[in-house]
Amino acid sequence: MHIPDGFVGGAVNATTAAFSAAGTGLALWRARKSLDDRLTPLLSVTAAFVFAAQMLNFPIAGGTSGHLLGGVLAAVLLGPWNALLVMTVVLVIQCLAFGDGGVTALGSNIFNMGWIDVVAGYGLFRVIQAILPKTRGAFMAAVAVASWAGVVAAAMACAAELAISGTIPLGIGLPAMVGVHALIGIGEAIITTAAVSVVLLNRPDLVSTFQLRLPAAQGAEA
Amino acid sequence: MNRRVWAYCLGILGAAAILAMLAPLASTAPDGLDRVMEDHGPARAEESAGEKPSTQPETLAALIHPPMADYRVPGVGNKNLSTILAGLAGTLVAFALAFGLARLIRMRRTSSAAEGAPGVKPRAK
Repeated sequence: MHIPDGFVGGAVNATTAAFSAAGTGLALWRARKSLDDRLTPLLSVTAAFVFAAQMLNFPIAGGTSGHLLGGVLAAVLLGPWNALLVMTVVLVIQCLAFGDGGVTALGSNIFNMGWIDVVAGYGLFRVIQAILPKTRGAFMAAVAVASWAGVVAAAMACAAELAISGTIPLGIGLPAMVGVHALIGIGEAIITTAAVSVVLLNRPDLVSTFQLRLPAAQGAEA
Repeated sequence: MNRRVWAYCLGILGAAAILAMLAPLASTAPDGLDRVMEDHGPARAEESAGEKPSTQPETLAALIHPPMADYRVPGVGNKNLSTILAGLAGTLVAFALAFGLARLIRMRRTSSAAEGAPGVKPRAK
């Protein structure tokens, strides 16, 4: 979903860039509170993992491919603010070093795949967590649904940017983007759920949101 | 404790490196956005198949030349090897940049009052 140069207009890019910069600044501020000896290494390798995983496009129907975004994966492991930092780092590297996503569209790309993926996906994750019982199965269900929704929400934002820029009208672009990314989101949900499961199995203490929501799981050690 | 977390996280870094080495196997089909642009976008959408929009390069875009455009290391003839090296380089840069950023944030924090963080909880083992 990396927008190249020329798809989205300057005014849209300037607006999303302002939002993205403000969001990353806020994330830098908020990260000061949470980054400790445990989260620092995890944040670093999550950025590496998200970058590598984003290279692996998987085929979906109709000669189209998609890849992991990873915002919800990062948010479930690290919390939403640290996740926004991870996504910003990955998207900036992809743009400046690899030409993946246009330089002029960097603000929009960080907005869609950083902000929107994390905020919508993680927000839904917290809502589902609040509704469902606090079991491991419910936790994984929340991860799966939220990671799917994060991709679809990012696709909606992208469609809106294309529409405002006059590239594709919303009536055509929105259903098209949502339709394709509803499929790609299934891949996102599978990868995110698998990755979170592995970490949860080995080191449940490293999954911030699991620990936060299930203090009882720590009872044995306390 | 700290060392154990690092050991585990370096395992994740290793997994990321393995993923990067699998990059040549990735699907080369257009991604979701490219597909939508091809199907519904204006005529210029043909450029989206990995090539740079040569028409009217915007000033900012014209100034930046990504050193490993299209996930290739320049000068490496073998296409797969080139992609793998680019993937490994990007993975390491992402790790290094995120780690440096985290260290910077924490350095800033030590000068101000350390507050109770949601992440700081009694640790397992």
